[in-house]
Amino acid sequence: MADGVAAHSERKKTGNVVEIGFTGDDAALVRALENGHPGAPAALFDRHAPHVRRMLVRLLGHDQELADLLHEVFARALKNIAQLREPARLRQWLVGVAVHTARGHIRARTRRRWLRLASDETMPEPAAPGIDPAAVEAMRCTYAVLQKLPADQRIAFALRFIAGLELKDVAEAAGVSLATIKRRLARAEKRFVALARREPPLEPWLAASTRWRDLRDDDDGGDGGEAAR
Amino acid sequence: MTGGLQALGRVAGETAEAVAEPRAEREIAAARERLVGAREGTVALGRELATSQDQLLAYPGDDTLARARQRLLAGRRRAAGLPGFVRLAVPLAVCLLIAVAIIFGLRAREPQRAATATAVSYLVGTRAGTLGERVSAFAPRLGAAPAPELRFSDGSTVDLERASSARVTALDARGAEVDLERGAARVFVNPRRITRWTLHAGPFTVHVVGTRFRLAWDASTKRFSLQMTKGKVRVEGPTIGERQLVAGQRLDVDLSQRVSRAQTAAAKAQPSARPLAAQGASGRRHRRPVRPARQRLARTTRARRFERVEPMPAATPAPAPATATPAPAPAPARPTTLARALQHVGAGRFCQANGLLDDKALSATLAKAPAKALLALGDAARYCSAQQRARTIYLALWRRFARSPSAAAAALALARLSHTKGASALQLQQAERWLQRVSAANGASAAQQRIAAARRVELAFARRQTRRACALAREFLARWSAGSAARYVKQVAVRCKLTPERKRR
Repeated sequence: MADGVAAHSERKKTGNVVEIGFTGDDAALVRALENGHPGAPAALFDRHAPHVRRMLVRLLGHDQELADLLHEVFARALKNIAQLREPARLRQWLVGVAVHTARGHIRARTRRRWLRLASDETMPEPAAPGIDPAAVEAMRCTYAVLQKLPADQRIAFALRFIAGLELKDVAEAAGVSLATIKRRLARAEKRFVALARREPPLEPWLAASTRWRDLRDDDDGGDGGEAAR
Repeated sequence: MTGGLQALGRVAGETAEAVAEPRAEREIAAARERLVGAREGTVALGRELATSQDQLLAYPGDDTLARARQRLLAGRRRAAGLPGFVRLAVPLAVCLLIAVAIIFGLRAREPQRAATATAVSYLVGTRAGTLGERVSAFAPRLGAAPAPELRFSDGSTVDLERASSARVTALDARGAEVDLERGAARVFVNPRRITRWTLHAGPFTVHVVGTRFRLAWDASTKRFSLQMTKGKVRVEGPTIGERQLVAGQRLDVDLSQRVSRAQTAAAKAQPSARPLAAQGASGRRHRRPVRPARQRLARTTRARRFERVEPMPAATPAPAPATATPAPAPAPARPTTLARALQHVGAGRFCQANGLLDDKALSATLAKAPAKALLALGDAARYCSAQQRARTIYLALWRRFARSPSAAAAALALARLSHTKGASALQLQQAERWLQRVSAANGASAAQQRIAAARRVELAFARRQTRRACALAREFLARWSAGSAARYVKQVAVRCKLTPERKRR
């Protein structure tokens, strides 16, 4: 297998440092990682980091510790790469690791907030040109509401409604069954709607949504199972 | 709805891909246009958030990826994200928690350590005392040894006065339990962190932590006295329930008259405030001071008032004052003598009333006098300490007026006569039988039945039949949950629960 890896490797000389590049699909990349190919970690990061970062942002919003979390996801992935059973599904597996890391981060932050060792205030979104201020405000409020949800429900909601994953992908990323993720989503959506009512920037979105208006009118009476459909 | 979410997914995916590639700005704009066009509720919010996030991620100033990559490839660990004050606060909080846990742990172990520590020991004079040993101070006589003093290893002392006896019934690391059987004792309990001292005097229990006081109990007259010098104690006992006394206060209880009296130091100088037990237990046979009839009558009236409010009223009502008691019809045999005797009773001159009727006159009276007169004469004999005469009168009353409230009153009085301090098991059994006879079938009123039931609880407790006392108490409380007797029974029930624990210890 080492030969195979070598066949897919290419050397790139930059000054005195020789960087061993890696080319090949995800399955080959996994094998290279397992065999300790020196260029595999960089290849893994370069190939999947944007997607993982995007998933972390979907899950947590813009977090000051995003770079740390991203590093942690890949550090864990490199450490536990042997646990990956289907190398072709490397990206989904990395999303699972990211979800796991994000869950730990949410819980740690909740603990810190409970102990009053960290500020309660939501992190302000970085200013960027060309972005609608109303959308930034809606984003801030959305994550402020999500912060009040249990970590598992928050993750399910973010993966489904913000990241837009399919149900089975949400279940796989969260490491639970499809039925469980449906229940979580139902609870999360119901609770999100109830809490979002108190946030004026989200009011237009709630008002525009027949689905959420119904949920709101039910006053938490329905099972919210439609979220899972 | 599902279509909307799927649309959100498609757009988010498109947006993500557009962000991933620097050249995709046009595609992002197009996706956003589609998003805005399709804005509807859930989908719209999700899409908007995703789009905004992607735009933020595409911002050229964002170096998140570069920093993470550099750290990963350099093999460095994640930097501590906590600010400085948090890094300081966490160890401080941990130290604080450990300190609190240690303090609480030590306090929780305090009783265990006390239990396993060496028990307190004591000396009687110069020799070592043993558990359960009776220590007596004899009546004074020429050349007699001084009264013994019990000196405990924790610094506490129990100084018995003349004609007193006590028994140390329990010793542990916290203190001791001392049963003052009769007489008086001056007690000093050395206050410590784990001190727990208990003194029993007849049916009374004194709980002490650290204090100095004088305790007296006269078994023959059923008089209890506690005079506080220093500190604070908690006293439990019949008629008083539970009461706290502080320095300068004194408590006198006369169980025979059902009178309790608590006084502060201001009343100490009054002659009547002298401890009752000191009068009866000072080594000499004290004669009761002769009181004017008015004073005795007032005392009787006080006793009657007490009967209404205290938990354990007397078995039979005390004779009423002359003004309140209508003179019963004189017996045909010696009408004048009986009438005069009843007048004496009404005036509180019980012994005079008792002495007026000789045996012959008494026999005639017992055969013909009405129930109320017999009851009054029986009470007078009892108050004059003529127990046998009282018993004879009550028995006659019980036989002649069977199944009437008067007979029930006689039964209660007979039970009371049998239930005295130092009574034998047989006497206590007789008392129990008399109490059992106070029933509706025998004409007893509801109040009499209630009193009898409460007395049975008291009697069982006196016979150390704890389980039975508890069972009787439960029966009583199921039937009468309120009232003065109920309060007493509740207290007894509590003591019943505590007694086995004390024995185990």
